[in-house]
Amino acid sequence: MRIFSILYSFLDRLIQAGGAVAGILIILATCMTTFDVIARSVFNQPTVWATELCIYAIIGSCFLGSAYTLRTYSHITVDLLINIVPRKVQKVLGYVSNVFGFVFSLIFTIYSLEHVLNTYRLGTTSSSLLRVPMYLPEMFLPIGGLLLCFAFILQIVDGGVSKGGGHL
Amino acid sequence: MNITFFLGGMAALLLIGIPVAFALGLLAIGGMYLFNGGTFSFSQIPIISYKSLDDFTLTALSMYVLMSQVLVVSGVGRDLYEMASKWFRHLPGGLAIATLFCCAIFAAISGSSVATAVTVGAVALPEMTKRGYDKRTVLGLLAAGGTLGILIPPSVPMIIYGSVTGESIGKLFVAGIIPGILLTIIFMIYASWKTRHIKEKPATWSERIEASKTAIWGLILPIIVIGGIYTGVFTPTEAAAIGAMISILIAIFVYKNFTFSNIKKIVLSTVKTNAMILMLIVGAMLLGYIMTILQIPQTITQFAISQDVSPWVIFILINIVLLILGCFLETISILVITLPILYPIITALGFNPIWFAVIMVVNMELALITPPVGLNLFVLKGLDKTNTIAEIVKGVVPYVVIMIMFIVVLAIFPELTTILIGKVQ
Amino acid sequence: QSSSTTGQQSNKGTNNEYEPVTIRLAYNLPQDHHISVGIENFAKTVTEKSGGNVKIQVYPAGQLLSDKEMNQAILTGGVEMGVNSSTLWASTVPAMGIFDVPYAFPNYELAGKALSGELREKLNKAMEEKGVKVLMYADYGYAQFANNVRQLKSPEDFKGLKIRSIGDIPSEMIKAYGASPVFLGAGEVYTALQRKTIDGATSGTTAMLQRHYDEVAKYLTINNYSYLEFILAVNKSFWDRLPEKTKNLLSETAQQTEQWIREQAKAEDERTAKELEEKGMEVYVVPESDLPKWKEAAKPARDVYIERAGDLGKELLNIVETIN
Ligand code: NA
Ligand code: NA
Repeated sequence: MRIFSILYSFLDRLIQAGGAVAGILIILATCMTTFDVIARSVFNQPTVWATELCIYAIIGSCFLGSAYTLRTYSHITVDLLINIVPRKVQKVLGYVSNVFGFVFSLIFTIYSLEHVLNTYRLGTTSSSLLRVPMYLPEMFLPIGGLLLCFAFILQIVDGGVSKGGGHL
Repeated sequence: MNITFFLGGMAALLLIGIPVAFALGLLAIGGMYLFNGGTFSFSQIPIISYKSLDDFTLTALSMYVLMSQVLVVSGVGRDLYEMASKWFRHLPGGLAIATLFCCAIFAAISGSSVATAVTVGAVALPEMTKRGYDKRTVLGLLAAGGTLGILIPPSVPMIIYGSVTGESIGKLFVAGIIPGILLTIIFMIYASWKTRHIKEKPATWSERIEASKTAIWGLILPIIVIGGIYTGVFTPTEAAAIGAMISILIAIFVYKNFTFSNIKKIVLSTVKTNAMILMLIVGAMLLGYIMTILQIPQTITQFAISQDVSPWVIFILINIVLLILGCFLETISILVITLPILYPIITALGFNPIWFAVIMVVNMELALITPPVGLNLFVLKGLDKTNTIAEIVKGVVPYVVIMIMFIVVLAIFPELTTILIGKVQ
Repeated sequence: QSSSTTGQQSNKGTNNEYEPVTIRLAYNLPQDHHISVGIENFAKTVTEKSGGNVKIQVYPAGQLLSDKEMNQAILTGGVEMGVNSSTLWASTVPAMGIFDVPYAFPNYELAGKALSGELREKLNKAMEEKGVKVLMYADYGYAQFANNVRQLKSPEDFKGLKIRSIGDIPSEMIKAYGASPVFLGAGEVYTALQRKTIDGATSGTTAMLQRHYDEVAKYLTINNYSYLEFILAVNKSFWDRLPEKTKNLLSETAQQTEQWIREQAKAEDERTAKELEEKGMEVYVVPESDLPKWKEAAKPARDVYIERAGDLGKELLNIVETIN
C-alpha cells in the first residue's frame, strides 16, 4: 500500500510543478511583451522573437496549468444538480464525471502525442524569422494531457468528490 | 438529429458535474466519433486545440488576469475607496456613489468583474454597513458595480469576442468606454436616490487631497492602459503586459507588500483562472470544429436570416436566449459556445458587430448577477459568511432591471458604442 | 447520413458514372477575393460535371480552418482539400519559399510560364514527398508596401521603419532594407497603422483595399517584390484512392480554374491599386530600371531561401532565372 501513497504524492507534486511552470510562463510572457514594447517605442527596434515566444508561453500556461486547476476545483462546473441530489448520488456522479474527464484526457494525450511525432517527422517550422521547430511548442499538449490524466486518476482515488469551481 | 445529440449531450454532461471545458471537449469527441468517420478525425483534436490558443491577441487575457490578481492582493482598492469616500460622502447616499466610482476605476484597470467585486467589496462592504447602509442594498450595489469590470475596458470577454470573431480588440475596448461610463452614472443616480437619507459631513479639502495622493497609483494605471491603447503607443495585448508590469512595480515599490507568500498567491490564482478560461476556449473550439464540419451553425444562420421577420425580432430573441443562458452558465462559456453561431447571424442581418459586442457584454454583466449561477453573487457570498445568496439576489433585482433597460437604450442609440471609434465599418 | 461517408468513396456507381464521393475543401480568404471566386467555381463545376456524384463541400473564409492549421489538417486528412499560401507551405516544404524570394518573378506572364514547366514538377514532387498532391497554383498577385512616413523611392527609404510583415523571407528582406519587421495579427493592422503603432505593412493591394488601408496609410509603393501564390492541395492518400476518372475531372477543372485566376490576378492588382490611389493614397511605381538595385539590396533574403531550401532551392532559382 505504501507504494501507492508514494505514487500518489509523486503525481500530486508533478501536477503542482506543472502549475508552477505555467505561472512562470505567464510571467515570462508579460516580461517579453513589455520588453518588446520598450524596444520598439523607445529604441525603435522591435524584437523578432517576443510575439512568437509569448504565444508559445501562453499555450504552455494553459495545458501545463490545467491539471493543477482541476485539482484545485477551479475549472468552471455547473453544480445545480450536484447540490440538490442526496449525498450517495452525489458520490456516484463524482465518480462518473471524473471517469469521463479521464477518457477525454486520455484521447487528447494519445492523439496529441501522435501529432507531435508527425510534426517532428515532417520537420515543420514556424513561418517566422525564428523558424522554431513546431514540435517543440506542440509538446505542451501531450505533456499537459498526461498531467490531466493523472489529475483525473487522483480525483477518482480521492473518491466521488464533486465540487464546483470558478474564480474569475 | 445532430442538434439533438449536441443539446442533449451538453445538458447531460454539464448536469452530472463535469467541468464545462471538458464537457465541451467530450461532446466534440462524441460528435466526431458518431458523425465524422469514427476515430479517424481524432487526429484533428490536437490541431484544433493548439490553433484555438495560437493567437497573439488572446495572450492579453492571461496578462490582464495576472494584473487583476496583483491589484487584488496589493492595497490599491483600499486607497481608491478611501479617496472616493472623502470626495463623495457628503452627497445623498455618498458612500454608494463612492463605491460605484471605485468600481468604475477598478474596472478600468482590470479585465475582470470578479476582481472588481472582490477588491471593492472587501473594503466597501464593512465600511458601508458600519455607517448605517442597509446590507441588502450594499450587496446589490457591489454585485452590480462589480460587473462594470467587463464593460469598461480592458475586458476579458471583449478579448474573447475579438479573438473568436476576428474583430479588432482595440476597437472593442474603445466601444465599451462610453456605455461603461454611462452605466456607472445611471447606477450612481439610482443608488444615491435609494440611500438618499444617509448623508455625512463633508471631508476637508486637505483630507481630500491627502487621500487622492495615496490613491494616485490606482488612478494612473487606467490612464496608462486605456490611454496607451487609444493613442497607439501600444496594442491592447501590449497594454496588458505593461499594465501587469506596472501593477507589479506598484506592489513592490509603493505598497511594499510583495512578500513571497503574496507572490505565490498571485501566481497560483493567475494560473488557475488562466487555465480555466483557456481550457474553456479549447473545449469550445473543438465543439465548434465538429459543428462546423456538420454545418450546424451554417444551417442555424440560414434558418435565422431566412425568416420573414424584422431583424430586430431576431435581435430581441437573441437577447432573450442570452438572458436565459446567463442564468445557468458562466459568461466565458456563454461567449465561446454562442459566438460561432450568433456572430454570422448578426453580421448577415446587417448589424454592426462592434455594437453587438457591447450588447453581448452587457448581457454577460447580467449573467454575472442572475441566479442561480452568477459569479458575482458567489463572490459576495464568499466575502462574508453571514451573507446569503437570497439577500444578495434581492438587492440585485433593481440593477437587473436597469441593465435590461440599458440594452434597449444601446439598441436605440448605437452611436453610444461607435462614436469614439470614429470610423464605423 | 452523407457526412459519415465523407472522404471515402462508396462502391456504388456504374462504369459510365462517377463514383459518389464527398470532398471537403477549406479556404481562408474572404469570399469575394478572386481566388475564392475561382475556387467556389471549381467546386461547382466539378459537382455539375460529375452529375452530382463528386460533391465538393466548401468551407469558406476561415469558417473551418485558419491559414495556420490548414496544412496540418490537409496532411492528416482533417479535410481532403485546402487552399493555403505558399509561404505557409514553405514551413513544411522549404522549396515553396521560391515565391517569396524577392523579385524572382518579374511579371505575370513569366510567372505563368514558370508554373507550367519544370518548376511546377519539382515543387509538386517535393510536396508529394510530404503527403500532399498539388492540384492548382492560384495567383494572388504581387505584394507591395503601404506606409505612413515617406514614399519609398529606394531601399534606403526603409531605414528605421516598423513594418508589419508576412512570412520569414519577406521579413528578411525588410531587415535587409534597414527596417524592422513587426508581427501583428491581421485584425490589428488597421488599428496599429491608424494609431502609428507601426509605420507600414506589406500585403497585396487586393487585401489593402479590402482592409481599408487607404484610410490609415498615406503611401503605396508598387515594387512587385513577391509573387504571392496560393496552393490548392489534396491529401495524398485520399487522392491515390480516387478512381482515374475522378482524378482527371479534378485535374482538368483545376487547370481551367488556374488559368482564369491567373488572368484575374493581373486585372485585380491593377484595379485595386488604382482604386487605392483614387481613395487618396500616394502611389509610387518603382521604375523597371531601378529594380536591379532593389533586388541587389534584397540579396540576404535570397540567401536565406537557398540556405533553407538547399540544392532544390538552387535548382528552382536557376530555372526561374533562365526563364527570365
Ligand atoms: Na475592465
Ligand atoms: Na447568471
